[in-house]
Amino acid sequence: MNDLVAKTNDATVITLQGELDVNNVEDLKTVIESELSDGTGKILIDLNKVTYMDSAALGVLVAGLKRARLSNAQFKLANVKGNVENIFKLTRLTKFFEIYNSVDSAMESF
Amino acid sequence: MSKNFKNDEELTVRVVSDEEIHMSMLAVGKLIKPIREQLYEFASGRGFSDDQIYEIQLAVNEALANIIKHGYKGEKRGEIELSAETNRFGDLEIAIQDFAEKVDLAKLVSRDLEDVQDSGLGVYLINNLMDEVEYDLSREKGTRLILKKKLKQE
Repeated sequence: MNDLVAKTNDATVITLQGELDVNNVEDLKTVIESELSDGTGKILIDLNKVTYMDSAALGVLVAGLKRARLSNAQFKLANVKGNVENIFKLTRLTKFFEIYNSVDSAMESF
Repeated sequence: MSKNFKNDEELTVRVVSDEEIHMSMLAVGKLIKPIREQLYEFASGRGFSDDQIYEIQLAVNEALANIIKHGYKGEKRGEIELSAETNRFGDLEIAIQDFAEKVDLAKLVSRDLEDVQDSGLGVYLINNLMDEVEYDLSREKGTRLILKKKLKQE
């Protein structure tokens, strides 16, 4: 998994790609925790290029959101679609996260 | 049951017939992706839709992750046997056998989705993705998880 962390004045965008599962989920956890520890107040996870996600990866996003809330940071998702959308719907986590159809619309919401 | 895996044989795949494949793997997370790929090959060639295959892949993914984490508790020499077989109606049956401590069915609860946690969704997903889920504890050692998916004619 190659993470791409792009920081602008407005927010940190973490662009994920490929298949996220229990095997590479520690990388994702490290990236998110690192951004939250840096005091980033606005985090956007772009899932546009993610083709598959299991519950371990989903768990890391849930943990990220919970931790962000504790530090009054905003934690949003963009481009939840296809198989990725399926697992969010199956677990009813669509209502737990703020989800946007594009990075642009998510950025405007911060 | 021991297979004495060599280092370069963490995963072996044996095609038994047109209707059946067997896989043997060590209990390591990096092998879950190749297992998903093998299941795609097998199920797509037997009439299952991409949506159904996704559900099968995710259920098996979750079952293997649970065995690796809770059954073998990270012990990488643990062995897992997986077979996938279609019957005369085209329905798929997957059996996943581990040789770890038997699953305690009393503790195997599906998550309450209203209580949002960052772990423990695996059993819920398996139960909701497959048509039938059965735990066979009758063998001397380990747990045999049987997952069934009906072939949907579209």
